[in-house]
Amino acid sequence: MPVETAEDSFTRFATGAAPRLNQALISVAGDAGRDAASEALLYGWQHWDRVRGMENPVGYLYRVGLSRVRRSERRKQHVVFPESPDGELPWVEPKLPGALAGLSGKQRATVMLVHGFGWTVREVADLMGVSAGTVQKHDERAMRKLRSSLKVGIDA
Amino acid sequence: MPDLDTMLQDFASFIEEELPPPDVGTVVSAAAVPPAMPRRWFRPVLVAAASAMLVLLVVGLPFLFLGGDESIVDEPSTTTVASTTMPSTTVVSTTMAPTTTPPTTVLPTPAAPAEVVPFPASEVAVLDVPLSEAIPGFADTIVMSAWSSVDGYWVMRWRSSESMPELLLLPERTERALPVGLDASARWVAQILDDDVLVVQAVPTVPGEPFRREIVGHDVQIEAVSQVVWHDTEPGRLAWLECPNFLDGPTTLVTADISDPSAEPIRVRTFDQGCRGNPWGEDESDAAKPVVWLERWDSTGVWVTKFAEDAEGRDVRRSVLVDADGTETPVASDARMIARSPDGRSIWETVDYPSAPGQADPRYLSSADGQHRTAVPGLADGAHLYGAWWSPDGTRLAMWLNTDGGLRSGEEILRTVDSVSGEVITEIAEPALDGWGPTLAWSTDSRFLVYKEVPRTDTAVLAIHDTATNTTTKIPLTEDVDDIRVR
Repeated sequence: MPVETAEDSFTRFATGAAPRLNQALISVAGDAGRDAASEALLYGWQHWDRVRGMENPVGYLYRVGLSRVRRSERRKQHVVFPESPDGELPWVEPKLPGALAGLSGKQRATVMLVHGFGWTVREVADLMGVSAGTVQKHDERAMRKLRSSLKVGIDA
Repeated sequence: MPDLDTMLQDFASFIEEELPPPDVGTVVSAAAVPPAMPRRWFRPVLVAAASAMLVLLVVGLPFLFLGGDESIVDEPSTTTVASTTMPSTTVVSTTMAPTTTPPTTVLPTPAAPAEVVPFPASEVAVLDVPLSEAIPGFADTIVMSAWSSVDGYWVMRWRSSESMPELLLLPERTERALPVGLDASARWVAQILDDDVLVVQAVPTVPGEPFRREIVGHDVQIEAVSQVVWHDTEPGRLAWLECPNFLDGPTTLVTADISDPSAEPIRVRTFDQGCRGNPWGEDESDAAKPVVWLERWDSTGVWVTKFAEDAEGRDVRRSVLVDADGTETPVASDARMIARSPDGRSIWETVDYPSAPGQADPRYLSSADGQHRTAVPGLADGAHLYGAWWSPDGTRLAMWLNTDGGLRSGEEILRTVDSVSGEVITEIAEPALDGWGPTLAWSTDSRFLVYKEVPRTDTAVLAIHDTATNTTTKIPLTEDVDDIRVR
């Protein structure tokens, strides 16, 4: 009977987890989130014997990634998103990256994951280890703040 | 200008293209290198793998849940009555077609505000019969509010005897303002201006009738007024936190009765925690700050949650109930109340959700004395409850739920049930409630549900559902509203 190696099981897990982990961390931390996602996955592989048994391994690795981001934030850098060159698609509202940077990390993650990447509230709640109600609360506050910063007023 | 959702979707696609997920094979092989190797060595390898991942992404990984644009199909029982327009005050010109220059954003100077503005008839497809004729049996007044940082509050009031709503502008705005919303009686709206001014305005009953009250003014002792909540059921009762510092405590819980002009605010209790720090420590400082949050205020007291972070970085939260004399009662730490009936029965959610589809829903009904727990009536096994609203007479429950506890393949339903037997009264499929703050109210006779729908491809809709006939009348709104009350 073939036995699944640790590498096989990690690869299976990580192939699914990597895009979600990456989406979550680049939402929170912009450019720094990409490196954090790589480091979190590496951590997951190095500690796979422990991580594999966890109830919510993606949520755990998200926290690992966040701690990497926080370390880099000690340098007091603001979150930096990739710049969109003029005239190229997709078009990015010029004020949006700045407005997102003005939110808390959790708020930024919530609005980006839910509205940008199309996650369900429940999926975001699972990732962050909070209730769906808390996610809704973050989202509501964040969207109001974004509308206010962007002067969108109320969504059409 | 595209709506905020579209902007965020475009931006998400863009940054994911620029910052694609790490390649798993590279991660595994990277870890084979002895630990003495500097951690960052593998980054160039990962960057090299990025293009391969991009191809994968384009093909479409199963983790991209970018929902398609479902077309909105009205239920057979649904009739569209009128198109109601709130004037758009933020005029933004945008081109989404392929373009070589970013579109320009034009923000007009707000028009000089007036106390009360008649509803602009030219922009309304007028309902040619009164609301009560279009919706037989409906006898209440609907009050809706929309808040904009440009104007302040717009309040739309729709009496059942009228064929069109009256729109009121309650002008009050500053550069930094935060809406609080309508009170239980829909007679007042509140907002926070410039962090430390708390203002309540009356929804006029007679055009031009003035009412503005500064509950907290600029006070050198207070850096911020935060987390203002209206009492769930008692009109004009307002609770908030006053913070001498944004991040550090102490924080004072204050309540006021707006309906009594002579009543002074009452300082109920002081907490050690701050009121504006981020409990997760992701902004303003590296360390998480202990924080208090006001959750709600109902007949049992003010619900306060205290956040902290333990040594391993996990959120630790503790909820307490504060009564009128400042006494704290701990609330079960693993649960949060989501709905409470007029007679004290309540629906709770445990904080930890099941992680696999088909697991039991973590919601339960608690008796008024808190001694007994049962399953939520009318919630089928395996369904997941998003939100619940008790009818004013306590006999019915409206429940917004997903038929699949795992939330991946189920259908969303708005269900009304007998709150004791759980017997289903009516069901509305795919109600398109606003997941970021569902807006729903029962009519005063516990017969109608009034709620806002936000179809993905359309503008917001005011839906009035008659549980007696199982029919729903939908009235398109060209602008969104934040709050709906029925009185």
